[in-house]
Amino acid sequence: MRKTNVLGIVFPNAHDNLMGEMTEFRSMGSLPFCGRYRVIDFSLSNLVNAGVSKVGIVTKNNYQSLMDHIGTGKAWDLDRKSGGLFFLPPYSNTDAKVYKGHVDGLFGAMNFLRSSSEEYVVMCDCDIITNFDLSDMIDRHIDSGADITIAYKKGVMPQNNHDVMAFKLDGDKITDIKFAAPESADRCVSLDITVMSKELLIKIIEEGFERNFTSIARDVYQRSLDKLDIRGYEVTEYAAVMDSPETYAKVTAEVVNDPAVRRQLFCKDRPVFTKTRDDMPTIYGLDSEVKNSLIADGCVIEGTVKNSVLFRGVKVGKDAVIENCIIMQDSVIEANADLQFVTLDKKVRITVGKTLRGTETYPIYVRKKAEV
Amino acid sequence: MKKTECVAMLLAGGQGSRLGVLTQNIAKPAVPYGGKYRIIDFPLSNCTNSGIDTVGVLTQYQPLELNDYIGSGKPWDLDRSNGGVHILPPYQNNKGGDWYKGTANAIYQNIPFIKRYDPEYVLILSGDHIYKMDYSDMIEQHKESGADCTIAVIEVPMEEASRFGIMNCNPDGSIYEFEEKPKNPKSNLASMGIYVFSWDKLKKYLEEDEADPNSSNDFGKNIIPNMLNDNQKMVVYRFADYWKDVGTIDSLWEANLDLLDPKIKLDLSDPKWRIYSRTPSAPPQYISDTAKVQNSLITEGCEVFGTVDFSILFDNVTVEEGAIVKDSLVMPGAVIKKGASVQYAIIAENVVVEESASVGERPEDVSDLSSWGVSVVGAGLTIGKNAKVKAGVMIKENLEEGGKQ
Repeated sequence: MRKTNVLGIVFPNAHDNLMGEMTEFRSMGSLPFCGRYRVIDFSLSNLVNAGVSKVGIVTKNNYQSLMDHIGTGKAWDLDRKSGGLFFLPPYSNTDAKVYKGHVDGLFGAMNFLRSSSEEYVVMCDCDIITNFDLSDMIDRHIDSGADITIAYKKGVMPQNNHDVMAFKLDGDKITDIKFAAPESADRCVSLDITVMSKELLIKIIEEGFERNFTSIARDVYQRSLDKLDIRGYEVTEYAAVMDSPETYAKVTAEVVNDPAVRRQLFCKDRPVFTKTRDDMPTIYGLDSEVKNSLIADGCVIEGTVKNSVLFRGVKVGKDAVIENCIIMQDSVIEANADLQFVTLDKKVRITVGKTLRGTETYPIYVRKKAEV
Repeated sequence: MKKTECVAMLLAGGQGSRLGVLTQNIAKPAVPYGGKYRIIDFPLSNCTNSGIDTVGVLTQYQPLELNDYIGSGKPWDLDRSNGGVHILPPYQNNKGGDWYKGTANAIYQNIPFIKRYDPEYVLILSGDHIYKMDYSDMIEQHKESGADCTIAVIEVPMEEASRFGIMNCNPDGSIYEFEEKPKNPKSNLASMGIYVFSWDKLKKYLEEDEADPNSSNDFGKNIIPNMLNDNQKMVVYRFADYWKDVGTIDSLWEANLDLLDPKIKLDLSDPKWRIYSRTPSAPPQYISDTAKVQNSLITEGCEVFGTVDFSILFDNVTVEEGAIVKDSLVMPGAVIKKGASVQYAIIAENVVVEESASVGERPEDVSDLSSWGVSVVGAGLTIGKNAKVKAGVMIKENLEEGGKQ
């Protein structure tokens, strides 16, 4: 059943600044991931699979590639008469400006919030790779009577330790919030997926705007623990936060190397939807050798590919060797090239016989459309 | 209704009985092809790429899967407010109703549908062939030549001509004779079953044909010969690219594996002429450390731990460690378990080939070559542990552990 009483809000620009060159010309949400996805696909699919059918996307800047990817929302069944997809760009009302945090960002989307009839709101950042039963979280929030419920992941996660929000919990109740807490097996890290009533959210934003708040986490949640009933919801499935190019490479490697991670991210009951491109299946040539790799459709492989991810439409020439690499869509690796620990952005060309070597902790990144 | 220049009518009601178990529960146009397509994707994509966005799909035999597949026509950009794709099953009216008696009768029964668009031309297509064709070029020729009917033809080897409907024509391309499967063919121009008619003429001949109680209401047997007899202007449209009938097990197997032959001109990766399909949301394919993949086509959702050679894996196929798939087609959702072997075979959707079972044989390994053929396992069946399916056998029921067929 659809959750007609729940509104989704997605922040595709969350933590853009942490990804370096990878997000120079795109938002975090439109960062390509795992062969055929963009990072935002996970947030949108979690919402849609939970039955949420009205989603607002609060964009900030660099959102051309995002709009191109999402279009009318067809791929997520969000092209609807009732509800569906709403782009909420800055400058959408007269006194708007580019926002810094979620509080002022949502203030610009206030009309959308006020005019929506839904009782509850789910907010998601787009730097989280996870696939879990969000509808269970929403149900638990409603049943518990909590003011706010925030999803968290317990334990060590692939991340570069930016100032993640970590909780101290008493049962489900969050008793303390710390930022940049050291990594440990019992640290509970926020996944920045939050459920609350729309009424409360509007109140928080109005008050927060008056007091010149920007961050909802620091300025609201952390300061209101004694006033509001804020609870945690543990996600037991795989979850990772994209917070640096190194984390990006590390998470990708985990998906390639660990079948359990793949099963959790791509479970059949909750498909991850994305824009389709109608590529033909991938062609494995006569002398190709492919080991331990994730390959999208539309590739032509004539060389060797190991421990790597190839996005759609990648060409690997004869006797080229690709190991521990992430090759984004439509890049071409010509014959006899040799790449190790390299991330190629879209439409890169590596010409005949070139060698590029990064290391596990410092992969080389080649920007979009570059020719090497 | 806005006027539409050309309406396409796609005959998709055929059973395709020569495909046996593969079309037991689905119509032939819904048969999977090429890793992520179904046969009907070709005429539908050709239509949309040719600028034809009003398509009637005539269904009759086992339409459930086909209806579901076509849906609103989204994947082919045929979900339109004016035109779009329409499923046209046989229906009842106040004078009763009837199944479609033949190809011509199927179109006759849907004259009201065509009339809504008030077209100049009607394009008749079938869902039996794999080919990429720009219908707009054919319609252009039809207009310029002033023909009443234009028939697409392809040159076939003279020795095979007696298997086809052959068009005998003058040097200017006008047809003077049509022979269905002639014993002694005079030409090698085979009809591709693709016709452009001027609508007023087609309507007249459909109505006359319907009034004739002795007619078998078929385009090839009745409409085309009747128009020729009346000296209507009939012209051939020559087509020289890849075109293959997939009406038999052997031709379906071949047409699929043609995709692996670089010499064959069927490029499905041309961004200017994409073949669209409705695909499930599946993750990228995973090729493991233990896998050996050579000369194959593999698509999303597959997991390969075994050996795949000169084969096509459709979406969400699993090939376990030590399993071998060679010279075969493995359709969506099938699982080839540990140590199983699949050679020269077509494994239909969601089949499970249990551990160490074997399906199909290489021609080199068969003593009597005349009995050799591609083996086929029908959708949803299980081939038990250690069971063995010989060359050329068609499996219609589950095969128990250790069973032989």
